Amino acid sequence: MPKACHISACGLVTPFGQGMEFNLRGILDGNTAVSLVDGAGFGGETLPLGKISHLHPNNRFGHLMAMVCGQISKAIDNSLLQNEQTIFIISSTKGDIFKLPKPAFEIAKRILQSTIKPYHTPIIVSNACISGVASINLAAQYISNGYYKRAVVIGIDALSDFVAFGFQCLHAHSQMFCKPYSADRSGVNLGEAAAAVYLSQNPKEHTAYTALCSPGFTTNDANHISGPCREGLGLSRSISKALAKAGLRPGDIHLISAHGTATQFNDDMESLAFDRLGMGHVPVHSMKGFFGHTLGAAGVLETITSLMALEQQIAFKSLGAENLGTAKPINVCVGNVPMRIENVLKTASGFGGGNSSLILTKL
Amino acid sequence: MKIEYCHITDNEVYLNGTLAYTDSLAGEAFLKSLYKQLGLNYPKFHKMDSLSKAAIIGVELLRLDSQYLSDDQDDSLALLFANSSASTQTDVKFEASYKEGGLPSPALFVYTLPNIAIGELSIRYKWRGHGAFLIQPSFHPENFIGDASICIQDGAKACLCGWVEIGPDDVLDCVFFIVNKDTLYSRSDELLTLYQNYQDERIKGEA
Repeated sequence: MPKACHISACGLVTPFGQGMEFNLRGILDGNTAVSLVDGAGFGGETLPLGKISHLHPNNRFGHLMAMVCGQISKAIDNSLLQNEQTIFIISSTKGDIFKLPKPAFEIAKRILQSTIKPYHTPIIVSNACISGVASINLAAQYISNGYYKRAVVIGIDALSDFVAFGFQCLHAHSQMFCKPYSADRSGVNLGEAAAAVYLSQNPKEHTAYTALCSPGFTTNDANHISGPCREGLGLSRSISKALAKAGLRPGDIHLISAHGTATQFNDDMESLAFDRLGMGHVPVHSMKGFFGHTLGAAGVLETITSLMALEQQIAFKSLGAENLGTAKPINVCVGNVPMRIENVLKTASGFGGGNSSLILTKL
Repeated sequence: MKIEYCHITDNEVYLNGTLAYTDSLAGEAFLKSLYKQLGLNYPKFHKMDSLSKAAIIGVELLRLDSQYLSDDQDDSLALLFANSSASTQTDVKFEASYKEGGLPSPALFVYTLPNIAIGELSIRYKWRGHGAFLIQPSFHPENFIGDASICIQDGAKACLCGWVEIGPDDVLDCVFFIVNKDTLYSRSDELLTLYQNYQDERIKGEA
């Protein structure tokens, strides 16, 4: 069995602010980083969005990338970042969509190159909403297979009319603050963020917010391109395989950091998957009420909030969840609950039918 | 002849390096023509964007004679896809639908992610295993081999690798190949030679 890898947070930019402390404070205070943005909708509607203020209006993606790269440079020594045994992986669904039809991911590579100067060209994962978790899994597998000694995974997506209008035309974006797992949930709130994690097997290279990462697996529902398999079979298979690989049983998981986008389909599907595995009683939360759905950043951002939960020994609330109502009952955290947390299961599901999961274990 | 790889260019198909189909039509029209020539019956094909159409045709060509691409597989088959332009051509069309067309089109929006091509293959053939889509500057078969090796170690019997490049005006440049644990490295070398030869011929032709 491959050795589990150490993982720690090394960069975070959200509407709460930059770095771990602002974000942890926001979560513990129960505030949302989502705000009502006038005129954001296709018809001029006000939309609740996790929008970061003060991003350069003509270069939102580039500015966001530069900020997270700045944080990574401060968090990790250059000798490690520029080492030949270090690989960078960028997870993003649309990249710099604002420059269409120019290639959307070139700017991310350029900014990375100019701020950090990594040895290798970064790997770019564009796999819809599972990109973040899938990228962390890829990094952990590269390390456990000896391809590289360490990895930095950056998840990043910026808000755009392109994606907002797209979700609207699918009737998937709510005009209210999103309500994960609630009976009257009405869709996502989109958000933007850049989040970075550092993986290596050398514990000395990590500082705070560190845990063991056991990579999981990606599966496909083989059902519909923009809707999950109704029974959640693909997700439950992804979770089973991750547990087996980590040598754990469902009962060993203390907290599930789920995808919880607040669409009817996703939340029902997740409840069925968790219930099928006998995990209906395990505390589960969605962080989408705090940050919105940050797409390519989500898996990395929510891995970082899972690292926070492990450090603080607090299961964060599913902000926005009320009057719970999913296909199967699940144990949604409705407050910030101090509890013993040793193993966190992080899951993600996305357009294209993908499901991906990983497990974080307290050191 | 086991079909191990196919190369779909703008109006030609090479199977195992030998020209197998050609047409006066190009791009998406060529893909539609291949759909008819292969006798396919899958109405969903016509709703797909060029990226997904190319993926379906590529797989159907390989399935003419391949033991690894049967329907209904959990983790025995992994899908590793890449290109340099993501879903740009469809993105442009979606953007036009709301900027010029007056209304954002859901039929187009659902294709504005490159991994949807993997989704369409998974749906058609009931492939429920690993899938990944990467963005890379150009086609290098060896880029797929490291990830394929990991999938095979994790239990996949084979990896279906796809370079699915759709350029402006839906110009096609797609290579699909299969690797298993025995052909991981040999396939990559063969492909690199064939692909390089094709590129050299194309450049000569344009000169």
